[in-house]
Amino acid sequence: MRVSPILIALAIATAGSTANGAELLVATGGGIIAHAEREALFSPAEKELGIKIKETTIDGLQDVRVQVQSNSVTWDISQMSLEECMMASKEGLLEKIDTSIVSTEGFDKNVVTEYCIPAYYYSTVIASASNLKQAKSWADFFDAENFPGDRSIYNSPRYNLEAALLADGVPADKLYPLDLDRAFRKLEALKPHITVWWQSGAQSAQLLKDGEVDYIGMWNGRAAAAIKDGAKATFTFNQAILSADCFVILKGAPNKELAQKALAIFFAPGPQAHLPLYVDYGPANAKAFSVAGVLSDADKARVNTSPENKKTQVVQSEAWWGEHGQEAVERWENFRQR
Amino acid sequence: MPSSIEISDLTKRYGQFVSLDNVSLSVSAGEFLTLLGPSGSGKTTLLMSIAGFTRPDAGSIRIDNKEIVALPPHKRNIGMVFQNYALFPHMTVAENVGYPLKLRGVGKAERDQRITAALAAVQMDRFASRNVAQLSGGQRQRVAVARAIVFEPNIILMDEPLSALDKKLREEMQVELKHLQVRLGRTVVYVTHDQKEALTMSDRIAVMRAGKIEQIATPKDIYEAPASKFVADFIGDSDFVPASVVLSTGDHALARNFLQAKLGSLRDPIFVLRPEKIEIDTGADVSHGALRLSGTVQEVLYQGNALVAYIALESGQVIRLQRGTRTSIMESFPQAGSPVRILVHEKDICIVEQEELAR
Amino acid sequence: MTAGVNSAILASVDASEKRQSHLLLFPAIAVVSLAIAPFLWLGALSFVADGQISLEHYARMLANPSYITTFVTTLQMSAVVTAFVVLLGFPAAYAISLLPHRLATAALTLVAIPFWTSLLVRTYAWMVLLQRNGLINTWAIELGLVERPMRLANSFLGTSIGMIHIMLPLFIFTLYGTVKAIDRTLLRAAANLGASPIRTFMTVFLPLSLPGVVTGAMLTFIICLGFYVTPQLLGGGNVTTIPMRVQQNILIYSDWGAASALGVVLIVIVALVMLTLRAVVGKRG
Repeated sequence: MRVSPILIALAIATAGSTANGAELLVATGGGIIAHAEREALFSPAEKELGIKIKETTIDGLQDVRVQVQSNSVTWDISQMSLEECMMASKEGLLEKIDTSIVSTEGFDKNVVTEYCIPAYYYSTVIASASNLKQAKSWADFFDAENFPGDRSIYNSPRYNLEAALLADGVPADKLYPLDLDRAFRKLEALKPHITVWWQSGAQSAQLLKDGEVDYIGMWNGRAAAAIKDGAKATFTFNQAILSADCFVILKGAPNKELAQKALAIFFAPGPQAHLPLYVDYGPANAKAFSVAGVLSDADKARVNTSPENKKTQVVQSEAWWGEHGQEAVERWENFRQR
Repeated sequence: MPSSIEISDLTKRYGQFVSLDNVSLSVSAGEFLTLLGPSGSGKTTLLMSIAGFTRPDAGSIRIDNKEIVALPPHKRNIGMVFQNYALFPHMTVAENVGYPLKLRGVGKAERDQRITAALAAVQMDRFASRNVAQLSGGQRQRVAVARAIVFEPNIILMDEPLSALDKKLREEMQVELKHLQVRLGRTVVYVTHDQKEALTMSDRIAVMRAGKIEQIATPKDIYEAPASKFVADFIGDSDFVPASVVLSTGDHALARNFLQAKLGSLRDPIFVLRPEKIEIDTGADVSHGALRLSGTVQEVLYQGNALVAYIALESGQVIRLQRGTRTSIMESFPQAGSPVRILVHEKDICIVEQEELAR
Repeated sequence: MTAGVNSAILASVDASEKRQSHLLLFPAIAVVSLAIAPFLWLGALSFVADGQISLEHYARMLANPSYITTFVTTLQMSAVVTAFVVLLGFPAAYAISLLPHRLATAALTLVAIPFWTSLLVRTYAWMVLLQRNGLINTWAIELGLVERPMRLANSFLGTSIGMIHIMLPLFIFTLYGTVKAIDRTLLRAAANLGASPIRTFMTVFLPLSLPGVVTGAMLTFIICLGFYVTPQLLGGGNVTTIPMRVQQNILIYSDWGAASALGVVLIVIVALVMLTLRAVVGKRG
């Protein structure tokens, strides 16, 4: 019996559509980080799995909430801050990550949970205007007498409570549980010198670039970009506070099996090592720095999670924030708006 | 005390358009003077210049020999009734009338008393606490008059105050306003385009045309002896028959000395024939000094209080003849198609110079 | 009733016309219910916490003084902005209403131009002008007016300026309609009756434009209560408005109720403001 060429063509086509034609929809934060993720993580995953990864952007946790609660999930994977991950997993919006497929070797154990694994770290660093004495530590930042000038900090207790306690002399390994009373006392003393409470990364970069403030606690990627863009300022990784953004799988995602396989590639040392080529936010997988032939010494000096840089920094405890976040925010507002 | 107004050489231009062209006019104290004319003739500009809302380019306006031409409106102390009454919608009737008194610092007790008196003068005292919106057109008109007289100005200006009222009410108000003016003894300058209103109310009428006063005279003189074809045409109904047409008819029967006196100086004379002054020549009236012409009745219109016959003269010109509708007249009235002779007494004939009138 | 010729047919035409006019009500009812239903739903949610009926979200507002500060700040901001918008907008609307038709159209178009520009762009423009090294401070220092830069941006002042600029066109448009409709002969009448230009303005023009002023001011005030972007960017964290707290509560509490409780209180405040104003204005009219 002769096999019709049409049937063969059909068979090939159907095979392609099930295996090679599959698509994943991934929500990112957009911007330069999404570009880095596309180059370092998504493209290799597409190649390796023979799939197509489509991108969209997430504005906030409510985007995920709406999809899951209305049983109309269209995203497979979403990026989120670690804080949002904790809330989302508490609310049952996420699928567990299958560690038999996704390896967590090389990650900080206290940051990985059964629902989320960090993709990269960002550091809240101290930036100083070039024409002034450089603040080298949070103690300098909080010392308005010896380091006079306008301050700006993130409009949230996050990072700031840690910064205040570090400035007040609490050792990095004794930070948690945070002493709220002590932290707010320290912040209270600095308050008259805080002229801007920034709300978004873009705003903090603008403040630095326009010389609107003299000392500012801000994210390292934004600081580096602003300086590259002409801001007359410097920043230090000393005492910077590390926080993570993660990838998660949405509860009831249309292609959750495939999503697990994609995450395995996103978090693998090879793709992770390529992230810093495109952005200043460093890989969360420490093994990335031992992948040969990707990162130069100059790259490693620039990237916040390189072993050299990371040891002067503090990793934020999401466990504490998940427990006390709401209380801290309410107290922050009472402090700030008085 | 009424005041006199002396206007001399008043000129106002709007670009190319001359609204007032060297107008001079005197209004004597206590006089009711009406400015009459078609729209654009300058009558409103003249009134607004007296009120102070229009600033003339040149000229003088004196009240009791005091120059006021440069005075702002609020310092002129002239009462005014506006065409749309201009009552303040956020004030009651009493507040409207009391407004000029309040501005003049009149105390509350006296103010109330004068408000009541002014409203009583226009039979509106029962409406003192009403809102303006609740009043009919006629009632608003009365309130506007009360407000214009309450502060006892020596001069009152009225800008077509009755034009928004229906015919019946308008005629009632004409008489009422005239009586009020006589009783108060104020000088009134009144603007209207309604010739009948002007004839009814005025002591004198100034007929205006293209920024000039064409004729100023008593209502009777204006009607009986119009100074021009324009005035004759504007006031009352008239048909115009050129003198050449009349004279070419052999049997017009007019006396030579009448014609000499009337036609003498006129370049191109025409007869002004008022329809109600024309009679049908039955042959019974044999008096001399009358114009007699032959013609044919074309059509007879019945208008309730009048019959109007359209009569084609031998020259082809059509004139109107108007009669009352007493039964005896109607029974003997010539039918359409019948030949007829008409008669106009010399005293009822007016001759003016021919001119082209814009229609 | 006696049945006359064609009376039955005429009655049936009457009835069908009535039915048709009732049909026209349906879209209106649909729109109203679509607008009101989510509002009621959110309102109900504010009384639910962790699946239980609870006043927790309202108790939180009382327990944390920052919420009261936020409400006070929001009301203060709206009041200040409304006051300045009225003070600046009234003369503008008045002046435009005096212009001949063609110039008035041109002037209104100029007023409208900022209205066509995105709110974000306008807000950033103000940042460029007001910030520490911005144009105004640079000029002021160069001219020797001040020694050190003034705190213009990132403050209550900067936010007010930005919001006034945004709200002014809306107020001018609202008021212009009223002012334009005022019969100019009324002003002549007042002058004729002896009122100086100032008296004419105070006793005739102002009272007659009051309804437009009140409508415009109320609209401005209520819209100001909902401002988010401008205080966010020009306030520099020194101005916290209710919408900002709504957003914050959605983020930190995984619960619509925490946010909608703020909305409910805001709506109650707006309703009280409107009723008070209506009572005050109603007495005059």
